Parts: sequence; C-alpha cells; structure tokens
Amino acid sequence: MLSLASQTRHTIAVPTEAIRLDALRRRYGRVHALDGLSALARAGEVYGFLGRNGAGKTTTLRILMGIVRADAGEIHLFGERVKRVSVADKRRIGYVSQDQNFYPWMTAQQLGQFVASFYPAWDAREFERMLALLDVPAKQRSVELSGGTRTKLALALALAPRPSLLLLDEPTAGLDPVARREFHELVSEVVRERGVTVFLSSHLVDEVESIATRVGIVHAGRMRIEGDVPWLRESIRRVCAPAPCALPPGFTQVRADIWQAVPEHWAAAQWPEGVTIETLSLEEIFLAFARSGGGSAVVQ
Amino acid sequence: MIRALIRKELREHWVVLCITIAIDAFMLTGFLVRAGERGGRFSGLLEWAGMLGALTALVAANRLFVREYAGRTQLFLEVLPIGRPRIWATKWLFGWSYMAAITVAAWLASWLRALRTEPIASYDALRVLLWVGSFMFVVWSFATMAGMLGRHRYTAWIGVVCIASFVTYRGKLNAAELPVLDLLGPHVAMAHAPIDWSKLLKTWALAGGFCAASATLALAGSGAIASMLAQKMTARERVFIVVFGVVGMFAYSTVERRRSKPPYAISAAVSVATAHARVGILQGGGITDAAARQMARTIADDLEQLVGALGLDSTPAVFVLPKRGFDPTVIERAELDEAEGIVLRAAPDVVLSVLRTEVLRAALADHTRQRALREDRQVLADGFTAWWALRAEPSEREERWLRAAASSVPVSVSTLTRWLETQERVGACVADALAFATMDVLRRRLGADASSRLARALFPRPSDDVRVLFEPKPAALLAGAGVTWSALAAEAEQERQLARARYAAELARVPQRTAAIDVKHTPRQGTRVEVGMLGAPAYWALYTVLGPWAGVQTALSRLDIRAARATLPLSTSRGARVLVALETEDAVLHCPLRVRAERISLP
Repeated sequence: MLSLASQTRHTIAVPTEAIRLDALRRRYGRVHALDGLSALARAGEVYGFLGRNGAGKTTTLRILMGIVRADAGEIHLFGERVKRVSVADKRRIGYVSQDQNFYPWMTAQQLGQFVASFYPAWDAREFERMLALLDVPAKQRSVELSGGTRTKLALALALAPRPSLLLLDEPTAGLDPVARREFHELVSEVVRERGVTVFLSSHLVDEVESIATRVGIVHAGRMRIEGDVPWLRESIRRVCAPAPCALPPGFTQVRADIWQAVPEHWAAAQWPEGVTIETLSLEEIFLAFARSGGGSAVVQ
Repeated sequence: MIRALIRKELREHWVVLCITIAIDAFMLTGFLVRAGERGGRFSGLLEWAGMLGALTALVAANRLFVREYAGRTQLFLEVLPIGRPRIWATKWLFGWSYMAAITVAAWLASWLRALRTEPIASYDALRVLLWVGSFMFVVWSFATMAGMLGRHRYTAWIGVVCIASFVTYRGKLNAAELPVLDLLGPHVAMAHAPIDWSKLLKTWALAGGFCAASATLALAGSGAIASMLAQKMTARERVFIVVFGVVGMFAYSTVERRRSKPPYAISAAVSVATAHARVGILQGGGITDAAARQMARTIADDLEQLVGALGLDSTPAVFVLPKRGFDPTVIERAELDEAEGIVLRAAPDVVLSVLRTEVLRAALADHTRQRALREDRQVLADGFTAWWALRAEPSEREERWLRAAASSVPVSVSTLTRWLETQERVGACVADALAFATMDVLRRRLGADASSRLARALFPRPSDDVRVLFEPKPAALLAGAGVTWSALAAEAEQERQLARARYAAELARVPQRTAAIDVKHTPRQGTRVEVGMLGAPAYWALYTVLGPWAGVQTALSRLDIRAARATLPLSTSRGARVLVALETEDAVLHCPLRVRAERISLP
C-alpha cells in the first residue's frame, strides 16, 4: 500500500495482473478525457471502475479495446506492455458496451456466426448455451430485441470466445432490477468457474459493491482512489468531532469530516474526548471522492 | 475474417446492389440501342459510364461506408479482433470489385453488340476497357472519399458539379474536355484512342489521392473523424450550407460580368453614324444608294432620340440586309453568337414604319436583356416602339388607329396583360395597332415628361445578377405614374370605339370573311386538318405543331392558298396539338388581317 504525491505509480510487476494502466492521457479537442489515469486490475478478480458520467470510464475501456489510442501513458495487458492493443490481444478480451450497435437485420444466431469467424477459440456450444441460459431468442432480428435482451446477447457474444478478460462498460444501464441481478449472477459465475478477469465500469455503486472485489474511483480523468473494498472501508472514515481537531500524522483529509489513512493508523490514533469515528459505505466513499477535486491518488 | 466481412456485406446489401445492376443493365441496353441508331462503336458504353457510373458509385459507397457509420454499426465491427485499416480496405476493394465487375460486363456487352455490325480487334476493345475502367476507378475513389464525409457527402458531389460547371463556363470548355471526363472522349467511343500513359497516370494519381483521403478520414483520430462526420447534420450546418450556397450564387452573379462581344460590322453597307447609333443598309435587291442612305438616316435618328428618351449609353450597330422574296411586312432577325449588333433581313420594298418599329423593338429588347418582351409588359414595349417609330408620321398613326378599330377583340385588362394570347388571336398587324393605340392613350393621359419617366422605369437596363428578381412589376410602375391597367384598358377601348365611329366608312369597306378550320379523320387518309376561307380569293394558313410547353411565339409554317379549301401538309401523331391561323391581305387596312386562329387537339 502506498500513497503517491504525484500521478506516477511505482509498482512492481506482478505476474498475476491482468490490466495495468500507467498515466494514460487522452484528449478530445480541448477536453481532457483522461488526465494521467492509472489503474491495476489483478487476474481473476472483478474490478469495479467507478466514476461519474464523463469521468473517463468509457474512454479507458475503449483504449483497452484498441478502439481509441491513448495520447500518452502505458498499457500492460496480462503482464505485458502493449504499445497498441493488437488483434491477438483483442481475441483474449470480451467487451460489452453501453450501447449495442448490432446489425439490425441480423438474428442472434447470425450475429454469433459472424462474430465466430473472428475468433479461432469461438465456442459455438457455449454461445448456444448462453443464449438459452439468458433467454435470448436465437432467430429474432436484433432490432426486434429489447434493450435488456440485447445486452444479454452482447454478453453471450463476449463470453463465447472464452476470453481471459471481460470489459463491461455500464452494461446494466438499461436493465430492470431482475435482469440486472441475473446479469450479475452470470458474471460472478463466469469469474468463479473460468477465472476471467472482469473490468466493470459503472456509476452504480451498489452494482459494483455487489460483485467487485477491487474498486477504483475515477474523477476528471484521474484515479482518485483504488483498492480492495474492505481496505477502502477501513481506510476512509468519517470523523465527527465537537470541536476542530488536528490531523494526526499519516492522515489525509478527503473532505472536512472524511479522513483517509491506512487501517493501522486508524487503530493507533489517539482521539480527543467526544470524537466518534464512523465507517462509511462504498457509496459514501464514492461521493466523497467523486465530489472533491484535486488531491493525490490513493492506491492500495 | 475478410471472407466473413465480405459475406456480411453481400447479405446486407445484395438487394440494393442487384437493383443497381438491373438499372445499369436496363440503361445500358437503352444506350446501346441508341448508339446503334447513331452509329458509334462504344458510345453507348461511354454514355452509360458517364451517367450511370457516378450513380452506381454513389449508391455503392452509401451502402458500404455511409450506412456503416450512420448506423453506428462500425462501433460493433471495431470491437471485433480486426484492424480498422483492414475493415476499410476490405470494403473499398469489395466496392471496387463490384464496380469493376459491372464495368467489365457493360464493356463486354457493348463489344459483343458492336461486333454484330463491324469487326473490332480485341486490342482496340481492351483499350476502351482501360479508358472506361480508369474513369470508373476515379469515380469510385471519389465516391468513397465523399462517403467518408458522411453528412457532407452530397455537398461534396454538388461541389464537384458546380466546380466543373464553373470551369467549363469560364474556360469556354466543353464538359468532355475536363480532366477525367476526357477519358470518355469520342476517340474512345470509336475505339481509336491510343493509350496515353501520361493522361492515365494522372488519372490514377487523382484516384490515389481520393483513395488516400478516404483512408485518412476513416483512420485518423482512431476513426473519430468519420464517426463525427456520419452524424446527422445539425440545423446550424443546414442553415450554413443553404446560406453559403445562396450567398455564393449571389456573389458570383454580382461579380461575374457578361462577356462583351465585339460590335458587328459590314464594311460594304451604306452606313450612317450618329453620336450614339450606327446603321448600315446593305445595297442590293433594287435599293439605291440614296434610298439606303435615307433609310439608314431615318433609323439612326429614331435610335438617337430613343437614347435620349430612355437614357441609354448607346445602341448596338444595326444592319439591314435586303432579302428578295420576303413580304414587305416580314422582318427576320439574325442570331449573332460572337458579335454585338442587330442584323435584320427584310424585303427590298419593306414597309419602312414596320422596319423602324422592329429596329426599335430589337434595340429595346437588347437594352433590357429581353426583359421588355416578358408577357406582363410586352404590350407596353410593342406600343412604345410602334409609337416611337410613328411619332412624326400623322398619316401612319391614323392608319394604326384604323387597324385598332378593326380589331375583333376589344381592349381589356386581360387583352393587355395576356398579350401573347391577344397576338395569337388578332395577328401581328392588328396587335401592333392595339399596342400603339394603348400607348398613344397612355402618353396623352400622362404627358411627354411623365411618359418618358415611365418608359425609363419600365425598360431599364436590368441588373446582371439575382437583383433582377426584385425589380418592380409593371402594374406597380403604372400605379406609380397614376394609372392602372383597368383604367388604361377602359380609356383605350373608349378611344377605339371613337375611332370605329370615325372610320365607320373605311371599316364598312373591309370585306366580311369567314374562315373554317376542320379536323377530319378517315381510315384511309388518317387525320387531316382542312382550312378554308370565304370572301378572300387568296389567303394563307400559318400553322405549327405545338410542343407541351410551346408558347405562341413558335415559328409558324406558311401555306399560301388560292382555293376555297385546302388540307394542311401536316404529319402528326394522334393527340398532337396544332395551332392554325388563317390570314389574308386586307386592302383597306394595308396589312395582313388574321381572320381566325385556333388551337386544336387532333383526335
């Protein structure tokens, strides 16, 4: 665990890491979509990529898919640095985007056949199983499918090539609660059974909280905090003091009443009379970081 | 991967691509049949390539590129493990294969058809394929580039057409001389064109440029440019393009000045020149030098005074060429493409007043860029010129009033404002008299000064640009002078009735004539038009077959008749419309009198 004064990350290459992003930058005209973003997702875990609309989540995922090129920074996939996401890399990645831009005239089956020709490891049986499991009609044109069913179809298409990494870009935005739950269960099952790394981008905290093991909160194109969910809860707490009190050594202030420090410091800290320490939900932590500007990134 | 992509394209677009092929085949068949009638080895193929090539390329590029981006399905493709360059290249090559296949098929069909009538060596035919294929290659390359411009693709096409039109107009070129279009020249049509490597290399380089631009648009900015361009046009962009187009046309029409042509001249003519006019009469046909000089002097004086009255800078040079065999009241104006001037052909014994009127009319028409002859003001133009020519000829003026009095059509607002129809009904002689009478009344009512002011307002030199659309209507100008059409018509008709009373004795001497125009149909002789006139030993029929939009000023054929009845030598199809007018020379009015005019539809 380290706290950085700058946006530069000093990490040791871990063989088990699936995604490592270092100081990614991407600009659209005058808008800085990514302003030195760094992130680390370990293999086999569900990484929750939290951020408000326009924080840079989709741009990050599009860079990971090779759809958009980063202006600067480094990308490491499966422990290897990639200058540009290649076709071979893409074959190991499944991707479900916010909007499903399928060919409207193709049925789910035809889409499967079409996509299959791009993946040597395409598992037709698995695709059919997924369609059945997700209740997606195979012979209906995609334009006739509901938004939820289209998302499920996208998931089936993403999982059929048996990817090592699954990128989900706010996939449940248009789903009803039941469909969303089913979607989460399926993703959890895939992670459990196949050891697939899932990089889930969302602004829905409860969704991320329900399936993610590690979370990164991004704001204005920068990573604000990143770590395992329990570690985040132990490190960021609300301090309710009747009178202003000094910040103990090793602590940083996220907001006036929300402080951050490693769990050991919280345990060792001596608090004046009347001060109460409250644990925060992930949503409160997200709100604290997503609303506050500036400050240094905190990484576990 | 590529095969999957091609299969996808075929499944997605096969219907449209097949329809395009069917249209191409249909049109090519038509062009080939027509080419056979006109005789040209590959002219049908070239016509097809010129007209359908661009259309086919436009359709194919729309389907393969525009549709992918506009439907955002390229985002789905980009997620798949296939590079963006490969997607673009596959589509481009697929489209080009389609275009090339159609071109080769069209060429083969043209060649086989041409072989029926004449031998064409394979080498010659292959050279034609090279030229036509190169043309299609450029067109396809441009179409893909325009396609990548998304919502601006039609702007690009229209822009190219505008530039080509501008260049042809400014450079006085034939469109077939323009680069790329010159690949489809007449030598190629006759399969005689040698291989001009320089021209071909330039063409291919141009195609390569379009191709590179297309690729750049597709790949630059991670495809963001093409995606952005594929979005629907915003209201602001639409307004901008419309305003830009309108302002561009306005600016061009304002800045662009018409070419000034050199003045026409006949050195052998007897000429009279004044400060602002030059008139030449070519001798011949019995016109003496003195008569020619006198005629020229009279016309020059008319023009000189017209310059003062209307505030003209000058008038074009006028030349009159005697032409034997013409009626004394018939005058023809020659078309001058490369020179400025008025050249008239008339009989050596032409009626001078008619000639003077015609010269003034031509000068007025040229000065107003033909706007004086628009129907809503032509009666005033005709009246003004007739009045001007006779301003110092009392006896001739009275004769015009006599003719006006003889008119079977009264003066009314519709008579004056639907002047072409009036002319058709009463004939040129009486129509001119009615116009003269109307102008005479108007000038008496307004006085000389106000009349001149009105004439200047009615017949100005119009702007040489779109401002001409904003010129005031004659009704508004008349109202500005304190006259309305109805008041003018009423007063003119009142004066005409007075003239009828004044010339009752002369009018009583005009013979009563009845004319008949009959359409007859028999199985043996088919449909024919028979005409006849009672009360005239000699008369003539003027006739023409009217086109769908033909006005009354269509040139009329003339048949002189000295029998009670005659059949017009018409060869028409069923349903054709024919204008027939019957006229005879009237000894009292001293001009041809139209007895009857009718438009008939043949059964």
